[in-house]
Amino acid sequence: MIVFENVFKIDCTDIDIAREQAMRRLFFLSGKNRLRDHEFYALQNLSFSLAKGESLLITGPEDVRRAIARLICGLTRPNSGSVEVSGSARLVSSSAVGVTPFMTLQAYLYLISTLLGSDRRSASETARNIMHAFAVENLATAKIADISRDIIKKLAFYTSIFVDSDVYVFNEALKIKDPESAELFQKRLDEILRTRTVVILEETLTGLPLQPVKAMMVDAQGTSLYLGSYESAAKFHTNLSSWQETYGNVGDLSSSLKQHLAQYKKNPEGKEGTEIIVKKIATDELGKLTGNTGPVIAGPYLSDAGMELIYWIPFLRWLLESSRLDKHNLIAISRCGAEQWYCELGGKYIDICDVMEPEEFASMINLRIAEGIKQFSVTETETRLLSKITAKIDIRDYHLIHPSLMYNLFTPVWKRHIPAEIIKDYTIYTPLQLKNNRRIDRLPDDYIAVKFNFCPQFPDTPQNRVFLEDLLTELSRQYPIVSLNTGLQVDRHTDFEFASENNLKDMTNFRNLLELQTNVIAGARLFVGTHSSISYLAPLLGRKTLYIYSETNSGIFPVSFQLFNSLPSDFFRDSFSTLNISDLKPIDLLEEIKKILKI
Amino acid sequence: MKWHSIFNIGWLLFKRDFQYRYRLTYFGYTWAFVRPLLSVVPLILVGKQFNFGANIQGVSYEVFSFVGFILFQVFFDSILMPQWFIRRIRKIVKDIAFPHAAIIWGSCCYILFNLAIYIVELALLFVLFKVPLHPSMVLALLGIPAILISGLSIGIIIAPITFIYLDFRYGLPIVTGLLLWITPILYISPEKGLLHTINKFNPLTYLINVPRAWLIGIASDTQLFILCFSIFAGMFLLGMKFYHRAMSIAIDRIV
Repeated sequence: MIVFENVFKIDCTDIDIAREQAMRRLFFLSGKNRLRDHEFYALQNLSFSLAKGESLLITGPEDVRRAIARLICGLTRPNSGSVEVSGSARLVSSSAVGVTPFMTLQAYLYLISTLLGSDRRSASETARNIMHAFAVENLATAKIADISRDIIKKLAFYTSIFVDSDVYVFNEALKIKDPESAELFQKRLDEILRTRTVVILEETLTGLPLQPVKAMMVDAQGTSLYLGSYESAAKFHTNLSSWQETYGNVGDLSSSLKQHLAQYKKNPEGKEGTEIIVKKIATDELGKLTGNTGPVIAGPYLSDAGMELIYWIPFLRWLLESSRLDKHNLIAISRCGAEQWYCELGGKYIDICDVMEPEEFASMINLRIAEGIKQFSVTETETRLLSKITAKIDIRDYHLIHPSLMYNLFTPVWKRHIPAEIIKDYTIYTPLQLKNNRRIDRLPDDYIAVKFNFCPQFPDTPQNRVFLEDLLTELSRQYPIVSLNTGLQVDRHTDFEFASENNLKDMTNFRNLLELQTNVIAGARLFVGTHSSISYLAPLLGRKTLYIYSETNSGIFPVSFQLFNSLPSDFFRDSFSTLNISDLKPIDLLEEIKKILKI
Repeated sequence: MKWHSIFNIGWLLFKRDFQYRYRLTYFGYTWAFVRPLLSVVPLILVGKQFNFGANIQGVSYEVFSFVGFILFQVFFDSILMPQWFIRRIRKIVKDIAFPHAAIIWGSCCYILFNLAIYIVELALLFVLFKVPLHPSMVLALLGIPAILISGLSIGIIIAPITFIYLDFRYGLPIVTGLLLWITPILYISPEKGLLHTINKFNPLTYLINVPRAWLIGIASDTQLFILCFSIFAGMFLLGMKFYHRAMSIAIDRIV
């Protein structure tokens, strides 16, 4: 078995710098993944696993293939990450290593067999068998200097596949040039493929004398573009090549990804290319972050609160954990008092409302809502905002993780171009622990928090309005309710207005909006609302939650709904349930609420 | 780690290089006998001329200095051989994964071969100068491996570094002369002065003098020998850890 986990390998184009860096590493003086001048990533956050008995073809540039081969065989170690190989691994080579002119052929074959792991008896037997197989017994006592180099290389190659090993790594050694020994070689190769773990490293996918089970394509930056079945590899390779021809270098992703998405619907075959691109975005970003020792700014987040809770913050959590970034270096920028959502990530929090006047902030939000709230790129306003903030906290150089990274990454999932499960590869969901939860005095001790806004899964229709009106009227008679409506709008969701005795309107401003709503939800016995916006907070805080909807296949609701349902059942400490009210009456919902509250 | 495999590979690598090395010469294995003699005989002649052996009791200056030189040579071989041997097999190390401890054993084979030559020469010398046998000569069987391990404790740290920079390879022969003269090998340590101080704090003084005393049957300070050896033994254990870690880094830089 072979397991590569988040492997980074740095190489260098300048031999003098390489030697200096090696000396530093010898004496623990080098940062793990910091790139110095002339250094580059031979491998970047490479992960794959190969079970016992499987075969894998890896294609990519020569230095990438060489790095992988040497890591598997234990000839080198990664700069970070881990490589685990069960048993012995052999790099099959056609070069006659260890030869001296005065050695006899028998002594040389004995030496090679021993170096490759044979004991004394097996090594002698191996040397005799190989000489017999190639009918060169008469050369047993001849000196190497007197034997043809081609014969030596052929015998050395065959010895390296004949001596048993658990893992065989063929680095461009699979194509046999000598037709006389092809049959002998093929027989041994078939046996190896049947019983051993095999890794084949070649420049291209085609022209191989065998078909491996899996294939992996690695690009020049050392990141994996594809890992899957060998049959599909050629198809993906063609798709990616044509994608690159059409849209340019995979490196320029955000603009080319938009183009790709626009073209996607015309070309469903491009689906695999989209997965590759999504993976490339995430891996590239992770690579930039890993080893970073300076400040990292995450934000400024100015979009939907719901997306912030169930995509942005879990994505940040994944980035921070995977890159092993020092949390003290993180500076999260958001708005309206979302500080408590970022506490657990560590680091510092800066609220945009502390650096902008309320009118200025409101104007900015209104403009965003009008133009499209999702952040797909860094705008001029955000650039000015970042300059203002970094000047205030006296930071000049920093790494920026902008929300556009997350939006670009997950858009193919929201548009259902690729499976929703892919989100779980780039997010970490944990319950939210509040550090400074303050109970709001004027609210009842025991209450149900409610928030309903109109969205694709609960559209603004007369039926839905009547339903809500009746529901809330009856509910407020039987149980104290607190409405999360504040009268302030910070995203595109329009709240359903309901006159409730307990509301937040007169105590809310832009600065404390999300903080107050968070505290209200945290203190509620139950939360009832639509599955959108800040409503996502309730189950994350472990509150009993009941979501209602009337349309199932609209917007990104199916994706977030599927995501919530697929998270481990013990993730939500209290119950989380959903109800399609399209065929229900308000009284049915009330019964459901009573059941949840066990009244 | 399979010990028999390490010993077998180390022995084969030594045999391969040993045969190749001496096959390239006309006089072959004769050089192995002649090399230490050519080094020490002029030193003894000079030392005797300048009466370095004035205070030596119970044995001739020639025996005294030759034994000391041989023991020093064992120590120095143990420092030199690992890095020298590793560079000679560097192409194998670069392309074939085998237990790197075998390289240490291979260099030990060289050290032990040289030691065998030294012992033969020492035996001839004892016969020539009619040195009587002493029971303490048995202790020398413990002393010589201790000197070997002490030298190896430095040698195994230097070995991987020579894949990156050759300063040790070029510098060690130069350092030999310095070490030879700051250790009381060809002379008795003076009772005062700068040389006395240097000898007193030089651990080689005890590593060489005590086994020499055992071999030629004179009194010695065993405690300091044990102390120095303990320190080197500790270094050896740490050195092995460093060696294993360093090899996988240094191999990338083999040219």
